[in-house]
Amino acid sequence: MLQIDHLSKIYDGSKAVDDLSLHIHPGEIYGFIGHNGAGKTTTLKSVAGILRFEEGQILIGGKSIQEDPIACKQIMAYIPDNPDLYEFMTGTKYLNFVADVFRVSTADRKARIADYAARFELTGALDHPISSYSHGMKQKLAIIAAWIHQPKLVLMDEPFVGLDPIAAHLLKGMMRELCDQGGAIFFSTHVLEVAEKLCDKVAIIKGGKLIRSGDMAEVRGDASLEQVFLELEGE
Amino acid sequence: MLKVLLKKQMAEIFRKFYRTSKNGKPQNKLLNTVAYGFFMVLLVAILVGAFSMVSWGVGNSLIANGFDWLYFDIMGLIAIFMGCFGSAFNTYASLYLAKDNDMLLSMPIPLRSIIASRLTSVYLMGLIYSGIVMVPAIIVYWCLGTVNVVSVISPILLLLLISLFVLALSCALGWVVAKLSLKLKNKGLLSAIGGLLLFGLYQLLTRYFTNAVQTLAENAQTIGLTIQGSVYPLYLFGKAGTGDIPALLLVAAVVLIIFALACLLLSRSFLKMATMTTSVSTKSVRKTKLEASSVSLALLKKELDHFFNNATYIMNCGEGLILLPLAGLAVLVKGGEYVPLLQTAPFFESGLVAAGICGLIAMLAGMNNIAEPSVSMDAKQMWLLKSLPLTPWQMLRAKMEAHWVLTGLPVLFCCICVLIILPVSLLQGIYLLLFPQLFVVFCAALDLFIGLKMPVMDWTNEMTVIKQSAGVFVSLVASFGYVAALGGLYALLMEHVTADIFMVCACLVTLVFDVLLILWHRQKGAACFQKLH
Repeated sequence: MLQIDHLSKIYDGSKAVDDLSLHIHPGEIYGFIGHNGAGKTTTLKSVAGILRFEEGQILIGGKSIQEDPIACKQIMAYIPDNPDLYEFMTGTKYLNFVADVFRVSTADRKARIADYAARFELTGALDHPISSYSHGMKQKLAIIAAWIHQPKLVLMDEPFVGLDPIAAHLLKGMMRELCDQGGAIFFSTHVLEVAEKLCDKVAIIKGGKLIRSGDMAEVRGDASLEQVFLELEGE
Repeated sequence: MLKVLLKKQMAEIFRKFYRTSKNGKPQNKLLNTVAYGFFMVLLVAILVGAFSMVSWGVGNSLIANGFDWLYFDIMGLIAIFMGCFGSAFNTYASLYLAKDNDMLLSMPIPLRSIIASRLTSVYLMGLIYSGIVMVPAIIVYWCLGTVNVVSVISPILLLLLISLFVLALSCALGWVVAKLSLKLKNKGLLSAIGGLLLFGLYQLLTRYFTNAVQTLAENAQTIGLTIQGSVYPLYLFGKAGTGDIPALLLVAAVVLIIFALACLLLSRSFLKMATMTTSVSTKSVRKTKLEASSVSLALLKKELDHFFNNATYIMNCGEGLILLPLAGLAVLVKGGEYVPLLQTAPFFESGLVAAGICGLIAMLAGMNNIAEPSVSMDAKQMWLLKSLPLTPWQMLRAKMEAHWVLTGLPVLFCCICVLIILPVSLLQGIYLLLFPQLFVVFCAALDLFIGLKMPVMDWTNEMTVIKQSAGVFVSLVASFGYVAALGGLYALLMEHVTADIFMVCACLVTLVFDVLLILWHRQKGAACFQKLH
């Protein structure tokens, strides 16, 4: 589903991401961990087609994000850590806009918006301006927008920040549901307990370089993910 | 603390002169200073020149007859009106809508320092607008009246008092707009309508100003005595400018009291309003129908929504939207009276009148520079636009289309109104319809070009993008400059070509520019957009 080969991204002469390679298969929830500034967001943005990169290639569903960005973006969704949405729109208008861009039929968008909004208890707020939303509500709206076209690959940067426990639980369920249907999730997080419980695979990045990746059980061994992470960071 | 905040405020305004907003890299300071300096001098020279002529006309008849206080009344009131017009609309956005309000409020910063730093840009704007009227008025006064220490200092003090009064009025208006915005649903559009009414009043006053000044000059004594007798504060206000110390002290005391009251009003309500504005109106607005539409229509609707939900955007970048239909209606209602006169004008047959009307309509259309700030206004949502399956060209095209919808349609209406009342030849009719439309496309593409070349991606207040950015200024000058250049070229060639032939050529040249700009946007503009983050 997602194939990152030898990705390097340079900012002002220094490598934010250095020769990173990762393969994510359908059905996998892939966690991405690392300390602040390690290169997680840069990698996610490069995969999402937001940032251009100097070296390597990224294939989504077998297509290159640099050569065929539209086809790649058509099957994926990206949620940033702090989603700045169009505050002049209402929730419904925003979802309608995103659905239009992804060419979701009227019937499908109606059904999906009703379903997801009900799950996140956002139905009553959808006709309010986004400017009146709390951070958590914006996060929920961004999640609904990401799911509206039933993407094959979802990229998320710190998706649980700002979500209440119920919404966080719901999101975990939605992530698993999407993977069970053949999709894949690639997300960054600082909450190692969540990563440990939720992810099938995990990658640890340090100074732009991938220092460990693989099945959760393989990476973790007999220790906890936190112990492994702290050990690797300390090296 | 205030110094730190002011430094931040000024850095935000002036940073873009020296660092590119695309990647924060330093720019050529000398080149930028010279370029911006040139534009500023040009603009100030035009405005100051216009008000110098007004001051000279008014002063000539009043100062010589001993009514110098009436002269300061007239010029002072114009300065107050101009100052309020220029700064009042900033106040609401500058005070209550800044994105860093929450952050600053959470810091150990006295509230008065935050308010004072926010008001600095409003004050400067008011001072510049008032100064544009008062500085030439003062110089004319020195030329026509007696020059001594008092007559030199007192008008300058009056200007400073006027600027404080303008700030107080702007604060009050900003407070009213904020209060209304907490209650209204479509506050963007309603605030804009309120603003446009004020703009209409401004146009009306300007329209009748010449007649009023003439009447004043002819009846200075009677009017002067009436003001002195029944509107005594106005008399004192004028006297303050002439060097009457008691009047100056009294006016200063009144202005300072009004200013203090405005500050008190702001300091008592700021916290509540600044924190409520971001969580306003949890009432539902009109329900949106969930219906599929094409990608291009969705993008166009997004641009139009952005425009109509932002009073500052409408007021600063969409004046033509209201003025063009008004001009069209005015032509329909009153135009018939002038047609016989126009028909007797020299070169009517050769198309001079039709060409002139094309120029006037183009000037009105040039007042809309909707596409220019639209790129920078998307800065915060760039992550979304870039992660959606959209090509940069689709997004750029939507911005140009929005500019055309909001300008081209009113232009078309205005042109049809002209054609209804003005008997022109077939060729003139064609270019009357065609040239303004080609010009609108040119403006849209040029505005977008400027928006892509001079983006402001790291703003904390939309005002920075809409009103204070160099790009908006450059796009206005460029639009008007293009029409002026065509007018100048015709003046040079008028002995060799008829206006009809010239306008056909102007249409072709504008069409070529349109095509070139659109081709640029498809390739290089799209690449430019892709690089923004």
